[in-house]
Amino acid sequence: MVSLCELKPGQEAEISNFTDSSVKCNSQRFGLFEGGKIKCIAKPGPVIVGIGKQIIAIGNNLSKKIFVTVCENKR
Amino acid sequence: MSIFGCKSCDKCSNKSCSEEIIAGKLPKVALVGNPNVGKSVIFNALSGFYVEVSNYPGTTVDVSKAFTEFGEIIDTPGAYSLGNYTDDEIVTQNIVQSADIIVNIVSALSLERDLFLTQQLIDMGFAVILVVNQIDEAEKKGIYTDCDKLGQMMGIKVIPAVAIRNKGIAEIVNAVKNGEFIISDNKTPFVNKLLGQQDLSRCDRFLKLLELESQESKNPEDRDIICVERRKIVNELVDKVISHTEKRKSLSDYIGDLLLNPVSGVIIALIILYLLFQTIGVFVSGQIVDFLFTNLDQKYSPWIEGLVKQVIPAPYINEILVGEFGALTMTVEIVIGVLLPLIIAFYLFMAVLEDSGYLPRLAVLTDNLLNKIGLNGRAVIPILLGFGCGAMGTITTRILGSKKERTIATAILGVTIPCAAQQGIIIALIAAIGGLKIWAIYLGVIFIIMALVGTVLDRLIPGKSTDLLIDLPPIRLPLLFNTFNKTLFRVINFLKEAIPLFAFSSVLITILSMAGFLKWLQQALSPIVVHMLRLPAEFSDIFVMGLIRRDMASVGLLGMAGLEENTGVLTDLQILVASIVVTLFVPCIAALIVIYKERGLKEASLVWIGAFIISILTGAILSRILQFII
Repeated sequence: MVSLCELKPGQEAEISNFTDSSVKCNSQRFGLFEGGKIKCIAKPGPVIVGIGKQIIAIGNNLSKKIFVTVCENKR
Repeated sequence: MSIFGCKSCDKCSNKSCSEEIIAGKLPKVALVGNPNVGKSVIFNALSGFYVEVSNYPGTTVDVSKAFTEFGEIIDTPGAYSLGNYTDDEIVTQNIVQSADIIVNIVSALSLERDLFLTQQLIDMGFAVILVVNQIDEAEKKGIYTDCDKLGQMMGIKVIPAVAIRNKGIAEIVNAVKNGEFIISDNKTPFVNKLLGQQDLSRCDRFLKLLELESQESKNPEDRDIICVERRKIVNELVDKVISHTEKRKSLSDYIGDLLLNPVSGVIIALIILYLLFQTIGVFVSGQIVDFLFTNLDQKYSPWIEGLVKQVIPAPYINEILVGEFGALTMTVEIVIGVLLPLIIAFYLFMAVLEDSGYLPRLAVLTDNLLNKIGLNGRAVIPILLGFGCGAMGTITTRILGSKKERTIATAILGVTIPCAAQQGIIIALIAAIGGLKIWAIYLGVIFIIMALVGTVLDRLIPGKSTDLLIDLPPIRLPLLFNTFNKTLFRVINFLKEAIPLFAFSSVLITILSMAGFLKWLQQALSPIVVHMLRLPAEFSDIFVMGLIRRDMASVGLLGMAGLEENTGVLTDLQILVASIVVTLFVPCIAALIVIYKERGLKEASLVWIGAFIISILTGAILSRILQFII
């Protein structure tokens, strides 16, 4: 398990958990939820992830509070 | 299933409850949805042209309303959920509370995210019609939605739509007319468990659930369970109603990728800024302003002067109305001749950037930079708006997540960001004295001051800044009608604010001038102006005008630099120093009033005094250093 900010562009991952409840609830509103599949699209500062066809930008500090499991086979 | 749950609402302002609608009164229909799902397009299609746009009381958030044969339609600002996370969400929440019918608009491109709000609306007990918009865009990307199945599963009417092609609009109207809005029984189980047993009116249910789900909820564990269960319901729905096929990337995807790449993104941002400079600085402020100002000055002003002098033969009143700083001469020349074209151009440009989906990408690119001064990428939006009008930018700092960020952004806006009117004139001034070197010095100085103000405040103010979390909509071609509409409303709002202030300031200046106060102030300020800034003593006129409205100070500077007639009294070095001092000088009255309202007396005074000291000190230092460079 790594934090979201350690993902490299192109990597896919599954969200494992959030550091606290308020991060979790705020993220849920944007479609980021435990078990959700995401793909790191780019990292021009913030981490840009795709969830389905939707694209979300997550600030660096916040991305350290979201933990994911990298899906190795889908590189 | 029942239609309308709320029979009597003494707790909210809901006056048009079910019985009244049945008795023939028109229902209140609120359009609710996440940002960028096409709400405004649907609103425009439903409402025709009779639209009333106003700011929601106490906010800058635009709320459009229209009265149609089937009901009063209210557009709400985009919200990811009903809660107290942002200003937009609070406004939406207030509108929804008094609505009879909710038309919830979701995008077929992001159902997984959007249905979260739909499920919340159902949990709150609203009568909902669901519109799945952008079906065509989604199909191009290989996403197919089974709307009938979605309707069955959620227990509400679902209408597929392509709003920009007018598809689905008639169906929405019919659904409202035929009463096809339903309060679904398919609520989140845990919500039912918490609220189900109690016999609650809709308003009570709504308020209870809001309290449970707020950021300050007393039972964060309950809030968590609701979130997780709701998410589970939405995931199951999406699994069953959406089918995917792989499609190749579209042009919009490629452009989106380029904008997010740190190298190409920055290059594109620079190109956009250059285009902004070319349209506003060269074409609009050069040719259009020149044409309008000359015509007004040579044709309109002598005509109105003659007319007023004939009708009112009193010299004092004449001086106020049509004298050197006359309310009917100078105000009109400046508002119509200089400001109006600049403001229209600026707002049009902003509206295009906004509607094309570029602004959030700019927020992403600037996030790291803004993090260094205690802000996040979202702050680029009030700062950009501040380049239009400082007052507007300051109000928009409300979108920032914490008090600390709002204070830093307000200070940066108040001290360093020149508004559209100033920029046009500063751009003209700098273009007149020459080239890249001058530009580099001007921008460099402003940038350094901005970084200093931000860094110092970031260190001084306790507390943490919030993190960036935004949705990046697909890159789209802006719809002409929407872009023009937006520009028109902003221009009208600006004029409403600007004209009285301009008229007031010109009257004040005339009176001060007639009373000999200007001469006295010039002498009082002359040690600062002459010795510290090494500028002519007349420059204190510009300070006086700057107190009233900062852009007028720039206009005064144009006159002194001799760009209008050949009466210039300033050297190149003085023009550059003066441009910088005027940029950094105190916020105009309009902006100051807004800062006071938003941030209180203490912060408004600090911004004002800070701007005064910073501008004079910077000017004094530059006038001594730059003589060796220019």
